[in-house]
Amino acid sequence: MSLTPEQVLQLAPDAASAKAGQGLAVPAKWPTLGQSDSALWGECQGSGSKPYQVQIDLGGGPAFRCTCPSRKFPCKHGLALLLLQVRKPDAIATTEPPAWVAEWLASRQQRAARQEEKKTQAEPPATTADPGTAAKREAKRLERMAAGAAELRRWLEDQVRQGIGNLADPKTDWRALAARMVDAQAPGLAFRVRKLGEIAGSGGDWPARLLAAMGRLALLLDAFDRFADLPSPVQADVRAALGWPLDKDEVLAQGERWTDLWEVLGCQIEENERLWERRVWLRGRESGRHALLLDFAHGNPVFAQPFLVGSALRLTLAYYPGTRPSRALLVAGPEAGGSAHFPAQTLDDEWTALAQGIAANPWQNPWPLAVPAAVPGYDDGGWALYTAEGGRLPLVLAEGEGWRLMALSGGMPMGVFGEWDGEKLLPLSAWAPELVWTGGQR
Amino acid sequence: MSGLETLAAQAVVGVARQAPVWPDTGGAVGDTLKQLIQQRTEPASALLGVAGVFAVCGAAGYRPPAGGNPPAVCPPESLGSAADPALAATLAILLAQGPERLQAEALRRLAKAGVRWPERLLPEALDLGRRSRALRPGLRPVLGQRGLWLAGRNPEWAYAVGSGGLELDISAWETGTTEQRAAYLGRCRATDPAQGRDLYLQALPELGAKERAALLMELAIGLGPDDEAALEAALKDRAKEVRIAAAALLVRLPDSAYARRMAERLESCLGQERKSLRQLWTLEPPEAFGPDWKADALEETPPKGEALGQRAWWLYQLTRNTPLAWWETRLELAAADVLEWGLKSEWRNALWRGWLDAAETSAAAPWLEAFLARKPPKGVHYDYRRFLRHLPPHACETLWLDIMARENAGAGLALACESLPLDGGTVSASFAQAALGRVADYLGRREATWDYRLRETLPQFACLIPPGLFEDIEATRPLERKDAHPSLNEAVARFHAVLEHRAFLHQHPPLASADP
Repeated sequence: MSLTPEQVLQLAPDAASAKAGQGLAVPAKWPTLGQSDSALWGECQGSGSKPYQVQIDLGGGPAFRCTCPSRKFPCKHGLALLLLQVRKPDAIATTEPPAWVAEWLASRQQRAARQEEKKTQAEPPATTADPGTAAKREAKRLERMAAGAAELRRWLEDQVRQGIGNLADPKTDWRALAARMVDAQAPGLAFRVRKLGEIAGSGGDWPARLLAAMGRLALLLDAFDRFADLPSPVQADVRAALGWPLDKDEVLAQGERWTDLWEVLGCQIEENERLWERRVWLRGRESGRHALLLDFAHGNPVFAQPFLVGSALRLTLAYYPGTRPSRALLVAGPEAGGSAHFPAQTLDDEWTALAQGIAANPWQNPWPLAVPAAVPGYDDGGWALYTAEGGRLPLVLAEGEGWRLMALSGGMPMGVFGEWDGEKLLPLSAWAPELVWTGGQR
Repeated sequence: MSGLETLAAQAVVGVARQAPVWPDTGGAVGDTLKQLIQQRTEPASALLGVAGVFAVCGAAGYRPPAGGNPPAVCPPESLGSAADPALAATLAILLAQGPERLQAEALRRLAKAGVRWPERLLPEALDLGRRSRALRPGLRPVLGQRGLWLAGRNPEWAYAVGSGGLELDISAWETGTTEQRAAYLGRCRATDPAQGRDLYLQALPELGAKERAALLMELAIGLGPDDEAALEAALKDRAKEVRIAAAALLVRLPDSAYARRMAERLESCLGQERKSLRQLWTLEPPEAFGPDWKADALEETPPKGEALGQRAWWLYQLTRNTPLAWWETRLELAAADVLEWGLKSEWRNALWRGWLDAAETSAAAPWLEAFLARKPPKGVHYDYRRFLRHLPPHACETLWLDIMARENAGAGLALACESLPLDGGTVSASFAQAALGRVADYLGRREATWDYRLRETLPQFACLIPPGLFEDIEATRPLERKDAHPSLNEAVARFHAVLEHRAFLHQHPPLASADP
């Protein structure tokens, strides 16, 4: 896979690393440099007496290793080395890897082989747990969640009875209520309670937006009340919305498998109390299906498998169960598959698909949305996309990125992919017609 | 009002105070709502349920509202594209890291090659121009249609749109501040001195003293014999600062009546004496303050704190206001020899100070160089930095090397960087090599460790090195020393990084063709 400098910078854990990496990407800072078919290495003079040894395994997605003490990953040295190679591939001599590189590559191959072995041995999954105790544990959790749900319902109805105007009071203790939902083992409810707190009192039409969110939450509680009677795909949707998803092993074992050439349309990384969440949005070129890969990392945004927006990869995914499955896990791959294309659907088709998606699972949020042929701009209402049909779609954009998007479009329509939360679009990539902009990295 | 808003208005009050009134939507949604309201007897629960239905249906049926004006389409570009990834990447780095001189060079190279700034980096480039006035003239020619189009949409970037004050705009003269008026007058004088003079004369009656003096100094641009009458009139101005300014300008007209009068006054101070077969020139200050001197902007009493005595003070003023050429012809000596002659005089301080002032106002390079080559007499101080802009390049370079030796390497290089304008090209190859040699020696010394100025200046100095030396410096790496402090090594690495970027800007295909 050949990368562009922008794609390399997408790999940076934060803006500071990206900047530092660019600064180091000059041959003057690298006393030794070398590459082979599958690896890239170099020594970079840091502030210490010994230069840092930096190496990158180019097989699959790039994997980095550096002897510097930085906790960031990849560190600025790794990024700089890759940038150097991407900019001037011929300027780096092709030689045999030195011992320190060869050893690392060999150890990586061994580890991969061991894992492969483990996988084949592990199948079929060993069911060590006693089904009886598992069922008991599940019943216990359902009981706790039901108690939490009942409390939340009482609270919601009390608010509507006494007037939701009071909720704008900054003294409203959303955190305590959210914490009780966590205690009730329903983190999905806790998340929704915190969201209510964000809406209350902010923006001119907050009562209507707050009531909508409360109504949707009440709908989820209604569904949970009837949990046992629901068809199993709906049960799965409700479980996911409550924050009680299936174990990964179960998804890998039971989930619907789908192999396709997946186009990486967007990647969003967010931090919340040192927990990093990465959402990678894929669309299958052959099937047109959507998939969301959700990963978490603690402390630093380090994710095992990099996904570069604008690339297309052949992957096998296993979908989490649901009425209209979206979230998925990576089962096999990636094999490089070239560059992604912007989906060819019309905006009308997109809205129809969105309506069907919401009808099937009203609790999923955000939704992927590909807006073809829209012009980005700025007006009194903030950043917006002006669609070919004459509509105005509000955007969530940082100031600088808004101007960049505008500079790239020059008033001409472009394809914009992003996350739609029901009110605003958070753009993650823009295409004209090839990928010209990626956003959403914090 | 939408159904949800009607409900929200009721929910804000609270259903305990007021029984809910249900909106009637009709259709399938309306049927669902009716059913739901019948099932739920508890109003709060019913309201939440209705709100949930509205929320989900509203989200599913969302269509963007019509409205807003999309921006007009940007006109087609006439300049070439810098979309080449390697070039765009280099521009991104130097945009983020500078130094400013390198940014200016990149802009110049792009403009010369007829290539426009990459679209992706336009917001940062326009922000850079907003912060740095010096870069604006270089930025404008490479913005392309896209840059102008974008700048027109953000008030912060308004400086990039329109003429930006490059052309003559009479409103700057009619309504501007004193500085803007002076700048306008200066530009006007550069193209048409007579018109500029008329402009000044017309404006005179309504000007304050400070403004009169400030605008008068602009007549220095395009100064000629035709200006003499106006300057003579200004010698009679009420304000002292105007009179002094007029005198300073009249001195620069060697054939002016004023210059002749001053020379005559000096003439009477000059004498000769015979010493061992040679005629020697001698000089005595005037005995008395002439009755017509005051009219020529000379002052009788020295200001408070003046070190010169009364007669020396008169001599100093006469010297200051006499063209330097008079000394050379009258004494039949070159500038350097005149200075030497003055040093032997009892009145050397008055003479040297007068000559220094005259040399600076008339930008007489041979005199300035002669001053730099000598130690001034005790009690005479001057700031050689003020000379730099009047000196030819080779003389500046000698001075910088001198300061590198006398003070330290950082001071000399910093002065070089400060005194060359951003678009001032490069230093000579011989100076670059000599300076690098000195820096290399200096880097090994202890005091270099805390020379923060050197660390800042090295990357800037890399921007002044002539392109012909790039290869040689890359190959020999004269500044790299194992024993230098890490912070200095870092500065040396940045020096080389700048050189690499510059080499790229000179060798990369679309830009390499910019050279003749």
